[in-house]
Amino acid sequence: MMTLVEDIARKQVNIDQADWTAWCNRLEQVLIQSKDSAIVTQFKAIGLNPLHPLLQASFRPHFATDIQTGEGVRYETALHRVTEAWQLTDRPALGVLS
Amino acid sequence: MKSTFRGWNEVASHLEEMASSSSPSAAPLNDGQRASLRAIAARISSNGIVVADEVGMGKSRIAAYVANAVTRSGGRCVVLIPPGLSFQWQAEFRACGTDVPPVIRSLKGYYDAWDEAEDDTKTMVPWFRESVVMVSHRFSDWRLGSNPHPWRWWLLPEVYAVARQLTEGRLPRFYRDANDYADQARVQRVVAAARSMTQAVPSSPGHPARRLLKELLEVRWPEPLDPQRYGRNDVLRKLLENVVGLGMGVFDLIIVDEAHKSRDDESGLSRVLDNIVLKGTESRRIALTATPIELDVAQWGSTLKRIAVRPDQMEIITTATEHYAEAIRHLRLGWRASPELRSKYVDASREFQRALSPYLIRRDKREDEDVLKFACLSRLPIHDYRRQQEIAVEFDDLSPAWRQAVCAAEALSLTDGAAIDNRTRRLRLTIGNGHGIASVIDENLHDAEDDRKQDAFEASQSELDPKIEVPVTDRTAWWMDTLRRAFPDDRELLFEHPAILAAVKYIEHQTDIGEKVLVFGRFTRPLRALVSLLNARQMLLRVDKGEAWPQRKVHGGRNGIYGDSEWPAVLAAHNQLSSPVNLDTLDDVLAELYRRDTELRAKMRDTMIPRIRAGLPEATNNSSKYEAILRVVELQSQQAADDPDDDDRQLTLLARAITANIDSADASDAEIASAFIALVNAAGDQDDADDDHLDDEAARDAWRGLEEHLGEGYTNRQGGYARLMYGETKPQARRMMQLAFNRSNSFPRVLVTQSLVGREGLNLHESCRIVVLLHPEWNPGVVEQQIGRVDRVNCRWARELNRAIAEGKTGADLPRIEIRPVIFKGTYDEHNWQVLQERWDDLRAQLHGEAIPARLREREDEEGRMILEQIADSRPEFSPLKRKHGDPG
Repeated sequence: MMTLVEDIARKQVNIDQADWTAWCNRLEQVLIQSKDSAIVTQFKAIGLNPLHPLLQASFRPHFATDIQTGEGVRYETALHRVTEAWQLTDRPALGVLS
Repeated sequence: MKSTFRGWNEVASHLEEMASSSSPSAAPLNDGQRASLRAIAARISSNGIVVADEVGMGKSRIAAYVANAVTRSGGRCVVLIPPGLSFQWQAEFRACGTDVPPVIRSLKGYYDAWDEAEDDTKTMVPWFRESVVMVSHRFSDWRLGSNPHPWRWWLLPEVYAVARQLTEGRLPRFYRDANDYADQARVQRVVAAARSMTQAVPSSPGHPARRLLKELLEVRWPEPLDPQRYGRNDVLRKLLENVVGLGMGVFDLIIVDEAHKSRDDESGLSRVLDNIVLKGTESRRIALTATPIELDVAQWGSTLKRIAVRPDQMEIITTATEHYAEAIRHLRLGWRASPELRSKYVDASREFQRALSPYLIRRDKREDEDVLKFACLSRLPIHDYRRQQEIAVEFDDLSPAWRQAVCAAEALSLTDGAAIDNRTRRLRLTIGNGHGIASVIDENLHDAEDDRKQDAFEASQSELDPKIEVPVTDRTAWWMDTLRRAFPDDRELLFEHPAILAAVKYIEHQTDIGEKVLVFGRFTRPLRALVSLLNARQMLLRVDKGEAWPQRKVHGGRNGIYGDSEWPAVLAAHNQLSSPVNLDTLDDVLAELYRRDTELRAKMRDTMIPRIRAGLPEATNNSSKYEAILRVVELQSQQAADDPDDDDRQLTLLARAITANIDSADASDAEIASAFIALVNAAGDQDDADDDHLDDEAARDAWRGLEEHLGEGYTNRQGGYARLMYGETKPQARRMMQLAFNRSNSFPRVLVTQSLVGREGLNLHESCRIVVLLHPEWNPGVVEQQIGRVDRVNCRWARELNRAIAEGKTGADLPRIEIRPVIFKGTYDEHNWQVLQERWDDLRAQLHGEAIPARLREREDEEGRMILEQIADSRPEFSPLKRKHGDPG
C-alpha cells in the first residue's frame, strides 16, 4: 500500500528545481486521474489520508520544503487538490496520531 | 598416541557387514540407513561425505555406526556436536555398543581427564586414549581477555617446556622462574596434562603430533609466557588451540553434527574443526546436516569445506552447481515450449549429480512410508503433506493506531534509509532480510536483555546482502518516529497486537478440537504477551464453564502493570471475550475450583510413591537411582506434612507433574514410574543420566534440581495452557516443557518458542502437527528446521494419517502438517511470503531436484503434466536407495 507514497518521495527529492513545476503538474494530474484506483479505494476504506507524509520536509526537495518558496506553494496546492479529489480531506492523516 | 588404525578398506568391510540385513548389528537400522552405510563404504576410502538426510530420518545413527566401524578397525573418532545434543548422541552410541566419555564443553571439563584423584575413584583417562571423543561446537569459546587466569593458557608454555626437555635435554631459560602459579590446583592439572600428552607423542617425524611439536618449538621463547599473546586473533591463540587438540590425540574420523551451523571461518565450530582437532594424513570427515544449503548454491562451498574437499575438486562442483542453477532458472521460464531448455536441464542435472555424488548422500521425505501413503491416497504432489496457509490479518480489523503502525512499518520496508542508531540498524536488517510486517513492528519492541541469545543467533546466520550500504535519508527517521508514536512503550497495547490476536484466534480454534500448537517468533516481548493472553483467555473461558483451572488466584494487583501483574492480560482477555465472568469474585471462584481439583488429586498424591516404587521394575532395568530419589522425596514430604503452605511443593508438585505426563486417569504403575523417570532425567544433568547409582547427597541434589524445575513448570502461576521457551530458558526447563508438550492430553497445549531455541535439537512431534510462524522467517533453511520439530518419524501427523486411512478417508480429508505464517493482508507481507516461497522452491530444486515447483503444476493439462513428469524423472538423485545415472554406491 505504501509503495506509491515512497515511490513519489524517492523520485521527487531528486528532481531539478527547473523541472519542479512540470513535476507538480504531472503529479497532480496522474494522482487525480487515479482517484478511483484500487489503492485509493483501499485508503478510503481504512480511513487514512496517505498523502500527509508527502507534506513533510524529508519527503520534498530542499527548494520546496515548505510554503516559504513558490515551489513549496505549488507543491502543496497540488497535494491539496489531489486530497480533495480522493475525498480524503476529512480522514485522519497518516503520521498524525490523535 | 601411536596409530593402530588399519585403514579405510577395513572400515568399508565393517560397514558392508553392518549393512547386511542378516547382520545382528543391523537390527536397529532401516533400509535407507543400511543403504547409506553401503554408500559411505563405497566412498570413504577416497574422501569425506556430507550426509544430508532430511530432518528426523536418523543421520546420527548412521554416523554412530560409521564411528563404530572405525573403532573396530583400530581407529579413533571425534564427534563435534551442538550444545544440548550430547544426551541424544550418547544414546546413539550406546545403541550400537560404543561407550563414550562425557562431552568436552569447556577447558575445565577438558582438564578433568587429568584430574589426579587421590583415591581409586578416578574414572577418566586422558582424551588421547579414548577411542571416541565428543566435543561441543562451543568448546573454543574461551575467555582469554586482557588478564586471563593462568590455567587457561599455561598449557602452551608447559608443552613447549616439556618438548624442549625431551628433545634437547633441558628446560627453556626462565621457565622455572616463570611458573609463579605452580601451587594452584588447576595449573597443576594443566602441568599433568602437558606432561602426559607430550610424553605420549610418538618419535616418528611424520606423525601429525610430532609435526605439531616441531612447529611449536619454532616459536620464540619466552613469548608463550606472555598472557597478553593469547587474544582471539593472536598467533599464539591458534597454537594454544592446536596444543589443546594434541591432548585429544590424532583422529581418523571427524564427525561434524549440524554442519550448516556457523559457516564463517571465524566461528567457534570452524576453530574447533580447523585448529583444535588434530587430523591424521588419512583422516576423513563426515558432515551431518539437513540443510546443506539454505539460500543459494554458493553455500555448497562452505558445506563441502566441512569435509575438506580439495580446491580442484571444489572447482568442478562449483561449475556444476552453477550450471544446474542456471538451467533451472531457464527451464522455469520455458519448460513447456522449449525441448532445448529441457535437454539442457537434463544435461545440467546429470553433471550436478556426477559432481556431487562422491561427496553427498541425501534421503528425503519422498522415501518416508507415510509421506508416500499420503501422496498415493490424496493424489496430491508429494510435498503437499505439508500445507502452507496464511493466518490473515485484515486491515479492516485494525484499530486506528495499529493502522498507522502497519502503514509506517510497510513504508519503512520501502525506504532507502540506512542505519542511524542501533535500533534502526537492527530494523534495517530485519527489513533487508525480508522479515514480515509483524517483525518490523515488533523490532520496535526488541528487548536487549531478553532477546540477547536470539540476537547472537541471528548475527551468526548468513545475511542475504550484508554489504549493501544505502544513503541515510530523513524519511527513515520520520517513519520510525511515526511507528514509535503509533506504538508507545505501552506494554498492554501488545494485547491488542493484530498479529497476536490473529494467532490467538487460530490457536484457540485448534486446541478446541484437540490439537497442540507450536508457535515460533523472534522477539520475547510479543511472544510473552501471546502466552499471557492465551492463558488469561483460557482461564476466563474455563471459569465461565465451571471447568478446572490450575491457578488459585490472579497474581499481582488489579491495577498493576503488565510484567508485575497478571491482571492487565486478564482485563484485556475479559474485554476481548465480552466475558460474563465477574472479575470482582474471580479470585474466590479460582480458589474454589483449585480446592476441588486438589481434592481430586489427593488420592493420586497419597498413593503416588508406593505406585512409582511398584512400577519401577517394569519401567527400568536400573531402578536404584530412582529409588534413592524416592527415599528423599518421602523423607522430605514427611517432614513437611504439617506445613499448611506446602501446596506448591513436594508431593503436590510431583503429582501434578506426573499427572501431566501420563495420558489417562487409569495409568498403570509402570506408566506412572516411567513418567517419574522421564521427569528425573529431564531435570537432571544430561551427562549424568546414565549414572546408575546415587549416594544420599547426590539423590538429594537430584531431587532439589527436579523440585526447582517442577516449581517453574507446575506451580499455579498462569495456568500453563501456553508456555514460553525463549533464549534464557534453562536447558532442564526446556526438556521438562518438551516432555509435557509431547503428551497429547496435558498442558501445555501451546508452546511458544523463540526461533533459536526451537530450531534444532528438540523433538516436539509426538502430539503436535501445527506450526504457527508469528514472525515469518526469511530463510527457508530456518523454516525447514522449525517445521522439522514436528515433522519426524512417528510424529502425530503420521499417526493421524494412518488412523484416517484405516477409517477409509482419502483426498482432502487426510490430515496434513500445517504451517501457518501470520501475514498482514494488502501489505508487502504478501509479496514477502511469495518471495519466501520462491526461495523455498529454489531450496527444493537444490535439495530434492524439484525443478518446477509443485504449486505451478496444478493447473497443467495432461500434456503439460507428462512433460513435467519427464522433467521430474531427470532430476539429480542423491539417495543411496534410488541411485541412478551410473553413480557410485
